[in-house]
Amino acid sequence: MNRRALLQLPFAGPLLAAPHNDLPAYRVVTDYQPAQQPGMPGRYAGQVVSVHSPHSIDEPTGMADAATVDQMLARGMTALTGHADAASAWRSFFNASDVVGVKVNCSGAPQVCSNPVVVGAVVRNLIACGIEPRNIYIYERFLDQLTSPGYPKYVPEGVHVTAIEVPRRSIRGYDPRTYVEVDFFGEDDTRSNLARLVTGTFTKIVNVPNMKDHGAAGVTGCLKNITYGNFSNVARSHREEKTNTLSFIGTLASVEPLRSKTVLHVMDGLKGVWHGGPFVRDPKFVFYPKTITVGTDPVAIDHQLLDVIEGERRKRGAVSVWDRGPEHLSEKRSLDPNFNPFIREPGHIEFAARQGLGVYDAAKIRHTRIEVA
Amino acid sequence: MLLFAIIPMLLWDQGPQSAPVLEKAGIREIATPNRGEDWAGKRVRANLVDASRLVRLDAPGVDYAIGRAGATAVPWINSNLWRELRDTEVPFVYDVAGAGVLLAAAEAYSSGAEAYLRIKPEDLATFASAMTFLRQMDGPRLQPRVNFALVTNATPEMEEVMNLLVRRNLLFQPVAEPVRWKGMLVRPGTGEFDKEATADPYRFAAMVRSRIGDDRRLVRIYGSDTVLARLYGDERHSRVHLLQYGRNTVAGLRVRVAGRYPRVLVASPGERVLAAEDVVVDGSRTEFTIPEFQTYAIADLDAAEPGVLASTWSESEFELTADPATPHWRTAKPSVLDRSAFGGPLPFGRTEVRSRWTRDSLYLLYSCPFDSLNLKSDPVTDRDTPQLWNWDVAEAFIGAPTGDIGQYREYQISPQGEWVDLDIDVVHPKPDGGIGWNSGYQVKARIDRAAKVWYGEMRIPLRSIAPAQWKAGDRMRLGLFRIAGAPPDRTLVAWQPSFRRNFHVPEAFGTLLLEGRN
Repeated sequence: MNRRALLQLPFAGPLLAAPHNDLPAYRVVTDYQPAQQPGMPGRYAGQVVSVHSPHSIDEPTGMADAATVDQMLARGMTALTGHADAASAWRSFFNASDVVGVKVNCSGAPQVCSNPVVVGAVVRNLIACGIEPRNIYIYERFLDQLTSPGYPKYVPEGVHVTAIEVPRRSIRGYDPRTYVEVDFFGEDDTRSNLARLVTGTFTKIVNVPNMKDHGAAGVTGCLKNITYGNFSNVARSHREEKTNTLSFIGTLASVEPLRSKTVLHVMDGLKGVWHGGPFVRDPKFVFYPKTITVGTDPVAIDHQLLDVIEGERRKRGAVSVWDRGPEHLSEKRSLDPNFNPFIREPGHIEFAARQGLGVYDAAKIRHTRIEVA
Repeated sequence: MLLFAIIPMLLWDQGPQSAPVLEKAGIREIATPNRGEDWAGKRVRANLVDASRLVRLDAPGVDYAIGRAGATAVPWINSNLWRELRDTEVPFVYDVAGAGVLLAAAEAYSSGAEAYLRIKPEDLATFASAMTFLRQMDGPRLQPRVNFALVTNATPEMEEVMNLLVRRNLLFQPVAEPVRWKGMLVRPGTGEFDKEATADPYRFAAMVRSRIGDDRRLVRIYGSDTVLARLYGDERHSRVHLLQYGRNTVAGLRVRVAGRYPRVLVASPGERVLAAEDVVVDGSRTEFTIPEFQTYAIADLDAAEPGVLASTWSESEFELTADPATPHWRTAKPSVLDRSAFGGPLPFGRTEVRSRWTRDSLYLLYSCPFDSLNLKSDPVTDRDTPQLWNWDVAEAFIGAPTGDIGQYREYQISPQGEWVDLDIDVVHPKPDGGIGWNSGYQVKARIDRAAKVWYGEMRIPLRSIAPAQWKAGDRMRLGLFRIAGAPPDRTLVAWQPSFRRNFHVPEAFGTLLLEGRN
């Protein structure tokens, strides 16, 4: 990526044409050019590999089985890449000179978050590519959320575990020259800036989201985690029952260099949340897909996530994530799976596909399912 | 005559017997509502004020009742700015305590209001500290910069409208009918701003914002919902006052100001060094980040490019002559000091500074025009002269290019050849002010009374600046200053204005560039 002339462009970003009249007008400001092959949708557009194992996590204790997770990850990566062994598969993405950010999801921590066993396995594979521990960063926006999973215990010394926004609301961890400007509800602070770690430190990013329902976005998977977890001032996109996640998520994911640097998604679906996400409002909403999904195409992966969450909700008798009925809107009844504070926007995944971030059409997605005994 | 802003004053109900308490806190001037008290002989000056004339203001701050009024998720800001902007002839009084003392003082100062603060004795030190900061920052008055004029009336609706406009950082000038205004004029009750719109301040503010257009707003604030801005100045120098009404420290504030200002200097009470970060200047706007501040910050924006003084290489050392006509000085291109510390014009001609360097030494030659000289009697030139800056003097502050910018060396010379060199640490000042350190520099001074110019030349050992092997292309941090005239009309001359009554602002320094070969 070439950094264009400083001082010239921050005020001269393109105004993205709103695809519909009722969508907000976004202005993307960045000095970065896309890579020759942007990480998203990456080399394996339209491909999803899901690896399921009944032994991956012990439901009563919530403990993941490290050996099984290692095996699931290896099977997933080899199936995705076609390489004969896991080491070769990882090396096809990373080399010793990389500085890698592992974007975890900790909004539901400690109950449901990027499992430290999964994150530990990802880090070990990165180190096996020759990357020094000091060049690996496990990161999340908020420090208070990042602390409880105890990641340092699962990774070698030297690996950074760091938060972008310390303290909360601080903008110093964000790049002032790389942002999306949009006015959703008349708010005065109309910028959402990309993390400095992404623009200035990382050469690549591994995204490790969970399988979760999301009260605003419908589901929170690859796209939501890589965007709302890397940009500042994003909560402003929701107000009362209205949320702008439909178009905001895809717009943020398209911003360079985030799009180019995010080269791999490892969706930790050992545990999931079928209602009340992204938090765990009640343990009764936790379920156990016992699945790890890998791919480079966040849209294709999130489309299958939609099916998983929707299927679980159907099984539990809850209204669809696609439901837009005002009769199901209530902020106060969030523990009732038939009520939600926002009109969910699961259409954000298809919107992202239109931004060129991946394949949404189910008929064009190749979904490989692997079972590990 | 230069007009200065109005600094708030302490409204003190206690009698002259309380003078020692005030003195201990560092307060030398108060306003008293009590007639007949004899403060004569006290080291506190008392000014009688008619308390019945004072209009009481609420303590400024923030109410975190989120969502109040239903149209916003941001905290509710209790600001008096709108009243102070509208009622410019009214003297106000605040009853404040704790952190509210500084915020109230800042609010009044930033709006130019005549204001008095009634505080508790335990807050005297806080008040004194706030006043020290304001006095240091207080320079010639600047004109308000606004996006529009608002035709005001005395209705409650108008008060709410003004309040919300202030809280939205929509900068306006209240005006009364009949009005002559060149820019955008908002006249409530007419046109698009009809009665219905005026009755809903949120809608009104949104309409005004839309009419201006965010791109054309003079100030934008990013990273806080509780910081309000006031903007003054012109295309050469602007000053932004930033008031944090929330209780928390602002951990990073991005500010955008209309205009092109390559130099951005930030000050905040209690912060000795506070450098603006990520300054971006394009053709029409300037952006910068204030890394952190609590309650109040002032940002001065200077349209001048940061200064660079090129030092010309010299193969050999040369004799000090204090004469720019000598061959080794004739070829050295001067930098010009033609502005005051606040960026304004000077009452005398421009000072020139030339520089040369050798393998071991840095030479500086000052050419200082004067109208009159303020010289110390019985000058001493064989050792440091403490507090030499109380007389006419030329100064160079020089720091290494890397490391703590608050640490640097200070070299002074007077027209009589007196000198003092100091080891400065702005954040952790040396107990003796750094005078115990000696650089080994040499000086030569000369007064040409016929031409009304005095000259001062320094030969500074390069190793005294930093123990480095200096080479062509290296840079140092450099401040060049002059103080001229006798009190109370002393002129502070700065190559790179600091926009405060203090030269020790390393964020404001320019650059010394070592040119040529070595």
